Amino acid sequence: MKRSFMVLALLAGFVTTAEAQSLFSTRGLGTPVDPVDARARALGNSGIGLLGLNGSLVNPAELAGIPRRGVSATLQPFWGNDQVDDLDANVSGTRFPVIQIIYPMSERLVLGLGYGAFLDQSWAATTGGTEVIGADTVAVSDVLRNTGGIGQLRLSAGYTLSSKIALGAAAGLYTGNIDRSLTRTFPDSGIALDPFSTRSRWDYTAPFVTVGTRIDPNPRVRFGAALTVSGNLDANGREGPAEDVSYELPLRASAGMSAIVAPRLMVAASGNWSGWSGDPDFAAPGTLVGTVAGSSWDVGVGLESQSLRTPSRIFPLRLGFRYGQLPFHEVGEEQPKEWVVSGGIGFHLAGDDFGPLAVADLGIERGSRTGLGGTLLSSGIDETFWRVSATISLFGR
Amino acid sequence: MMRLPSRALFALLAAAVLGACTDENPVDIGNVVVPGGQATTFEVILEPDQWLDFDTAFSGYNTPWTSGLLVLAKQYGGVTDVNMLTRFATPPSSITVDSSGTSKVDTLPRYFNGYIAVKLDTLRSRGTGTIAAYRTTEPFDLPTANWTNRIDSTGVRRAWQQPGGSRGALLGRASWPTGADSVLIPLDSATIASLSAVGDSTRGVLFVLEDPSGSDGALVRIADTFMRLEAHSKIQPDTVVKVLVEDLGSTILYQPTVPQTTAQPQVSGTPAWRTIFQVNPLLERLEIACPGANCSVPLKDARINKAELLLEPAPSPTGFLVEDSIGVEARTLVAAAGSPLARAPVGAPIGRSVGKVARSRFEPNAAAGAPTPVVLTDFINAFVTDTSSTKPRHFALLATSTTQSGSFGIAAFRERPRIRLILTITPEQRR
Repeated sequence: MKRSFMVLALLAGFVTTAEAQSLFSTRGLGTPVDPVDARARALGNSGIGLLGLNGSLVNPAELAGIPRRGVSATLQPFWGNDQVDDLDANVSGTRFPVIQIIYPMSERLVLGLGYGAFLDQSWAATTGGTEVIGADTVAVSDVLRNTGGIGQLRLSAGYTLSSKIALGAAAGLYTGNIDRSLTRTFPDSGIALDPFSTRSRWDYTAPFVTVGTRIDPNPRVRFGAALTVSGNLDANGREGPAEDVSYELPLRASAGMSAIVAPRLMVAASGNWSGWSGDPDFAAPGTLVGTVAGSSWDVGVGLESQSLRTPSRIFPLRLGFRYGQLPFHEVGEEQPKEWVVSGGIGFHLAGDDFGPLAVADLGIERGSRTGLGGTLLSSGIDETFWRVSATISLFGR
Repeated sequence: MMRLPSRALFALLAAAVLGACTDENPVDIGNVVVPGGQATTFEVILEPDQWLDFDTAFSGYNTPWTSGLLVLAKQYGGVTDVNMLTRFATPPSSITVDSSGTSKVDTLPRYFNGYIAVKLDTLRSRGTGTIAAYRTTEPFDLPTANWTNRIDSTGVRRAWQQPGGSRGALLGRASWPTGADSVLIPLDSATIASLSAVGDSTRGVLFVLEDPSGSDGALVRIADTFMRLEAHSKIQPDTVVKVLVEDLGSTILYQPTVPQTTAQPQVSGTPAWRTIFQVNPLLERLEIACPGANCSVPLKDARINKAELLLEPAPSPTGFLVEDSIGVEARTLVAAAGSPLARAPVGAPIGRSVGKVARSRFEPNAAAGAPTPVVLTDFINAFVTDTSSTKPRHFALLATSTTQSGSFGIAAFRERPRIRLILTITPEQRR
C-alpha cells in the first residue's frame, strides 16, 4: 500500500503542471475533461455502469465489490490540429485524468481516494497587431499563456447493499489554479520599447458531493447512475492584478448501463448531462469577455469483446463512439460539439481467483470538435485530434 | 498464475509521468481565436507639474585648470574674451651631440632660434583672428589664476595689474586660420632666454586672440602648445640640435563670468554645469488617462515601456554658445541628508540622449525643433514601483563624459521639461 501512496503522490504533483492545449480552452473555464480511465475511453463511455473493473471517478457506488486494495492511474497524451478559416495550427499536451487509490474496509464497504480532472484551461497563443503611439505606428506581438485547470479531489465510498444493489457517496473539492500571463513585445520597433509582461494567478476551490447507485439485475447486466451537486467555484486572486471571481457550477447527472449480450461480447451505453446556467457570467479569470456556459449533453456507446485470449490471459478488444457538447462559448458564438470514435485493448497481466492483480488498458480516440462560429470567428474552429489513454491498475493480494 | 510484475510497472508508470511533462508552444493563429484588446499601449505626456518638484542648474563642477580645456576667444558672441596662460618648461641645460662617432654632452648649449607651436582644433573653432603671444610680467598661480586674479587660492588673492593677464613684451603674432592645423610664433635668442630663466616666477606666455572678424567675434580651440628650439654646441659648431620644450601647464582666463546657479537646465561648459531634478514623490499615484471612455489607471499599475525626458534646447547664455554638438546623460544622484544637493556626487548613468544635440539648436534665435529625448525608462519604472519613503528622488543631467570637460560653451534647455511615457495596460487595470 505504501507504494500505492507513492504513485498517487507522484501523479498528484503533476496533475496541475502537465499541460494540455486545445483552442476550445480559450473560452470560459476551459474544456471539460472527464475523470475516466482508458477502458471507458475506448468504449466511448462516461465511466459509469460498466461491468468489471471501473477505475473512473464518476460513480462511487461502482467501488463496491472490489476485493483488493490497489491503485489505478491514467495517462493521456493528446495531439491535435486546429483550423480557423485557412489558418491552421498544431496543438498537443498531456493530461492525467484520473488517479485513484482503492481500499476495501470490509466485504461490503470500499473506500476510494482519488484525484481527477474536471476542466482543462491550458493554452497559449500568439497575436500580433499595431498600436498608434503618438505619431508612430508600432507593431506589437502578444503571447498569451494560460497554464492550469481544475481538478477534483474526492473521497468515495461504495457500499454493497445486496448482491444486486450497491450505493455510493463521495465528497470532495474542486481545486486547482490558473496562471495567466501576457507578454507584449515590440518587434522591429524603431523607438526601442521595453517589453510588457503581466502575470496573474488564481486558486480555485469549490465543494461537491456525489451520490450514486449500481444495480445488477443479474450478473450479465449492470446499471449505474450518479448525481453531483456542487457549490460555487471561487477563483481567488493570488498574484498580480487578479480579482476574485465566483462561478456557479452545474448539477451533473450521469447514467450508464452495460450488458453481456453474447458469449464474450459486452455492449455499453452511457450519458452525462451538465446543467450549466446558460448565463453570460463565465469569462475566464482576468478577462472581461461575456462568456456563456450552456447546458451540455454527451452520450456514448461501445462494444467489448473478450475473444482474443491465450490460455493464461485475456485481451479485451473495444470499440466505441461518443458525441458531446462543450459548455463554454462567448456570447454570440455557436456552442461547440465533439464526436469521437475509439478503440482499445486491455491486458490482464496478472490475477487470481479473487480478481485482477495487474491490469493495463489502452484506448485510442480519433475525434473532432467544431464550434465557436460567430462574431469573432465566422466559421468557428475545426479541431481534429488523436487522444491516447493508458491506465495501469495494480492491486495487492 | 504469473507473479505480479509490480516493480516494473511502477517504474514504467513513473517514467511515463516524468516523460510526459513538456512545455507547450503557443499557437500562431491567436489573432483570430483570441479577442483583441488583451493589452493597450499608448503615449502619455507628463506636464512638469505632474512629475517634477523642481529643477536647478549648478556650475562649478570643475575648473579651467582641472578641465584641461584650452580656448582663445575675442568678443565671442559679442561679449566673451578668453586668454590662455601657459608656463613652458625651461629648455634643457645640456644637449647631446655626435662628435666623430661618439656622443658627447654639452652643458652650455646656445639656443639661437625657435618657435612656439599652437596646435588648433579647427573643427571646433569659429571665426577668424590673430593669435598673439605675450611675455607675462607678474608671478601667477596656474591652478587658480583667472581673468581678475593671478592668484586666487584660499586666503591668498592677488589681482592682475591688467585684467585678463598683464602683458609684457610681444613675442609674436600669427593669423588664423592659416589652412593648417597649427600656427607658429617665431622666437629669437633673447626671447628664448627670457622664457628660460629658472626661478623667475613671472615666466610665462599669455596667448590672446586679437582682431576677430564679424560681430560674433571668434573662438579658437587649442589642442596643444609647445616650443621647438634650435641650439648650437661648441663641441660641434656646424650641427644644429632641435629640442622640444613642452608646457608645464595651461589654463584659461575668461570674462564675463556667469551666475553659479540658474533655474534653466544647463550642462557642459567650463567650469562644468549640471542640472538636478527632484521628482514628485507621489508620482506612482498619478492617475493616467488611458484610451477609451472614462478610462484611467494609476501610473504604478501600468507598465512603462519607455520614459523619456523631453529636453527642448534653448539659446546658450550670451557669449557661451557651445562649440560643437553636445551629448547629454542622466545619472543618479547620491543625495545625503544635511549636505547640499549641489555637492551630492553623481552615481551610475541612468539614461542618455538619443544622439547629440546639434550646436545650431543652441544659437540665438534658433527655431524650435523636436525635443531631445533622454531615455529614463529604468529610473522611472523603479521610482513608481518603489513605495518606500527613502527611494532616490533625484537625478542629475550633465554632458556625456566625452563632452563634460570638452566644451567651453554651455548647453541650455527650457525650464521644467515634460516627460513622455509609453505605457501598456491590460483591460482589468483600467478604472
